[in-house]
Amino acid sequence: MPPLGFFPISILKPLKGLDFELEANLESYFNLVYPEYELLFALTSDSEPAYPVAKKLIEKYPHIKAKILVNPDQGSGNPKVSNLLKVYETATYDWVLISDSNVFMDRDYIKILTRSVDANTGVASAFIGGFESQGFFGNMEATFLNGFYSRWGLTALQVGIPCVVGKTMLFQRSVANRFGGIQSFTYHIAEDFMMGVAMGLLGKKVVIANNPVKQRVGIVTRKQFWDRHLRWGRLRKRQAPPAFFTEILFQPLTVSAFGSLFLMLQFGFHYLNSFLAFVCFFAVSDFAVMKTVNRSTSLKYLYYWLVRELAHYPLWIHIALGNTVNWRGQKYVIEIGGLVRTVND
Amino acid sequence: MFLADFHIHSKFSDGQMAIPEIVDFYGSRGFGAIAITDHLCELNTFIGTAARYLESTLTPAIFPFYIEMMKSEKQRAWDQYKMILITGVELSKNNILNSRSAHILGLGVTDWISADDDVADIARAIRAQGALAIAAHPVSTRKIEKQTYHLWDRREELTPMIDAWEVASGPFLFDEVADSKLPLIANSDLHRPSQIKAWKTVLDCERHEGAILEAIRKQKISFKMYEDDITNYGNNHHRRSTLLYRISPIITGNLGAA
Repeated sequence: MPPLGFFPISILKPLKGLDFELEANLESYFNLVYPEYELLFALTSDSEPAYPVAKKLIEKYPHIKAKILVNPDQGSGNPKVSNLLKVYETATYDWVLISDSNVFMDRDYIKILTRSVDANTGVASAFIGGFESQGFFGNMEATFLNGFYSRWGLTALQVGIPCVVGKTMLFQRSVANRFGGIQSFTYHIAEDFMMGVAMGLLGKKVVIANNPVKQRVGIVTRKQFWDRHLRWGRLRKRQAPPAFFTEILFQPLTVSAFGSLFLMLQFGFHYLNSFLAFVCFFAVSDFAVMKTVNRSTSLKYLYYWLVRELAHYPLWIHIALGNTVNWRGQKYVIEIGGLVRTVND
Repeated sequence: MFLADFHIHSKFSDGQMAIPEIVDFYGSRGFGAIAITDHLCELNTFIGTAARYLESTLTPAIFPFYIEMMKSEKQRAWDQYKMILITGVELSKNNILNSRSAHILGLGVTDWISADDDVADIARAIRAQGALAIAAHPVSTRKIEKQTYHLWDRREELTPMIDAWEVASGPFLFDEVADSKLPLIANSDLHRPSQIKAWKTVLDCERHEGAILEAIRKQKISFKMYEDDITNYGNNHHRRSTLLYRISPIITGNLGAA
């Protein structure tokens, strides 16, 4: 099917707290090269630190159609969806792009994203690339995004199961409203996953843009790093348990360990040599993926790759042992299927 | 007079077509009423859990999407084809033993019902919503597939709670049901387009959900074998891999039908 071409877009930006380089990230949306779009910032309170940042930019770029809408937190369910409800209803255009606050948009990104959209597209999304990481856990975060998630995202894409990534979701409200709109994701922790599922059930397809969106990682604390990957992991576990419980078998170090054991038993190869050969192969493959996602990835990331691979085992066990997550200052229990409830419900 | 089919599966369980595709498929063939009845399996059994993992059943997480999509398609079915779309479910209790397996259609169900309860309680819960409880393929389906005999084995006890019993499923008529003097209905149990060639129910009532359900209750219906050669239809209607399509019907108890 041919691409749809140009269509006006409402960009919905849920804001919470003060992300790394927030002003620069938000400013990138005021400089997009696209014929017609509006920017709608969603906040739960005008005392949020992101409020004056968004206000300042709106005043700086009066020619860009933009406004802030405050929707007080309802205190339950998915806080991102809850924050977005008001801007979703207020949006001028049928096509809406939900884009997270820590995303930096290249000037031509909307053009790239819309190029992948045709008449049968339910939702267009993009992989995340971790950029400008700082410190040990910042670099680990970038390695996670550019290595682990890109690796599995590409694998899923190759086997025909494209995954929607919540940091960028472009879709039509008129289509989403046929299954209840984003309101129906209020009690789902993974609104992106459910968006892909619901669009598929409607007979629409998920498309992934050619280029990843940029997430400026900056400095990440140990707790932020662990909590985020614990949340994403527990979410994977509850949404797709068989995939989660088998993923440990396909980790590079696991495959290396069992692969070399097989070579030793079957062909008498030296175990350690085979193991190192396997690890080198996976390291180079993942490095190539990381380099493709972010061209500035240097050789030092091979070290972070190894640490991340080793850290995956305790993280996987931690994920497997519970179903609660901390997100935006609130503790949640994830039910089977990804339904979420606050712990004090 | 119009044709109706009250046992159809969509991608929400183990069917091949999305709900909008089903509406277009039946609407374009002039049907007057259909019910989409996706599997709703038990949550607390091994087979039910497997069905959940294979995405071959409705779950509490996905059920609200199902209802919303049915609402929007209901309107479109009427506007575009003057066809009534009824929201339904097939409450599926699957056991390794055929005598403990039972599938009950709930026609007009809009709220979640647990399939973990006893069949009598399930039938009561369906009717409490003003919906019809239908015994799906209660006897041998004449195919090599998982069978569901539990309802038939308990028919004397369940008769007051079941509104109709399927006298035909797909292209096969069930003589023992036809001879039983129980209230009847005929459906295709359609999972893929080629299964449209099946027995259907014919109604002569107002095209309105209430009137249709009442006609079934009062048995003002007849049956007709529907022939339609659509061998090549639906080659592009695959959500999951062929392998998964082969596995999931085993879990939902529709090996031959799917």
